Amino acid sequence: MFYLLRSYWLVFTAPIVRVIVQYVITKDAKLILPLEFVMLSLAVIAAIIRWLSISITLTPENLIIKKGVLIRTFTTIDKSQVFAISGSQSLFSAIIGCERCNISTVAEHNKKMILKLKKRDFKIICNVFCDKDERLQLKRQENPKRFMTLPLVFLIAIITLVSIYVLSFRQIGSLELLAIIVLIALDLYYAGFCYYNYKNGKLYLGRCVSASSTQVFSVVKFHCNNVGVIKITQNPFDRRFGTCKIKFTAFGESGESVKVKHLQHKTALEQLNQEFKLNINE
Amino acid sequence: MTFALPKKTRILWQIRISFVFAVLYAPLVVFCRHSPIILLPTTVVVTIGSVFVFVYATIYLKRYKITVDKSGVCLTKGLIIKTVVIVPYARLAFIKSFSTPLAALLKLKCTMLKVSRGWLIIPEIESEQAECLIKMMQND
Repeated sequence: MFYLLRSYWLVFTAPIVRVIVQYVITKDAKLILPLEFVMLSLAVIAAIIRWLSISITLTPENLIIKKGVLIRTFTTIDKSQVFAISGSQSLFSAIIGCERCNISTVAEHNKKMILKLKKRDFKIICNVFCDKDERLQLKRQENPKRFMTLPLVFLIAIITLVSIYVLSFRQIGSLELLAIIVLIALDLYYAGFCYYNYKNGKLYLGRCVSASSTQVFSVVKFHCNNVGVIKITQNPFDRRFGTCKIKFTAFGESGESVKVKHLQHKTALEQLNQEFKLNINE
Repeated sequence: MTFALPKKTRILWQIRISFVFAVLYAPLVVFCRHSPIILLPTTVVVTIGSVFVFVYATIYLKRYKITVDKSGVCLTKGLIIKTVVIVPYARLAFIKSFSTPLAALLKLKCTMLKVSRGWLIIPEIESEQAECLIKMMQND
């Protein structure tokens, strides 16, 4: 239900913006106006009604989704038509304990079936729809320094910029201090995801390709029965340390994909050649 | 079967990129006569363009490799960031080949593979090689 409140983000952010602007201009602002209170209440009631109207039923062969308040929709997804399932979880989703589940099917063009589920429900759906066969695990780079390089570089860049600013202007106002705190907080937030990637990032090959990785600012879990295109990328640092990034794209128009970084290049090529019967050389 | 791009492809792309650079930066060169201030940026741009055309594009196309075997197509490309793209035959929707007038003059054909989302473009190769590639994909 809390996830459904995100649809009404304007109703929640408009009063906050109004209070800030009013305070800056007049140094006096009412926290909430009667109209804003009414809009907030309506948004919460709408989210509750939408949440109550959603019903998801899982059978061994199908997933049945019923939703809608005024116009009821009834969707049936057959197990054989599912190409990939991916779950992404941002910080907000992790706090409220749910996962955004994208189901890619054969007939979806640029659209995926998106559900917001509890973590255990997502695992149950993955077990039913994907023939998990984690025979081969691709080895990753074990050195944590490789994972934390970018956050450290950003932190050094922020410190350098702040130093240049202080040396040029010799003072930091409250606005500049706020900007520095926000930049450092974002960098630490990004470092958290890099650390998660180091600890929990995995890639399994088999009948179903399964991967756990991070993407932008969310944690992604990907299970794919039908792999479309495989892309192996190496930048100059990867070539120096013998690592690579592999991107798997699911077959189908939706183009659901996952990218796993810091894999050992030589082992990855051998196992891809073995599993997909290819003949790629280093 | 692995094959690289022919030398004619490199020449073709050098002609194309030089033409585009010439069209884009001709106004700058003309303005240089009237305003010497933009002489330095024009020189920098022309130098970068020349390096791109005669060094980067040459090495990039020289390192481009196409591997076709029983399971699928594998494209190896890239100079600074090396990329290997693998497409199993079962995941190919269809294949399209075409040639521009200049490419037809040099007996070259460009091949485009339609995959699940988007296109995979194989730069100009010899016409016979392109036809052989299409036949191999059709048979598989």
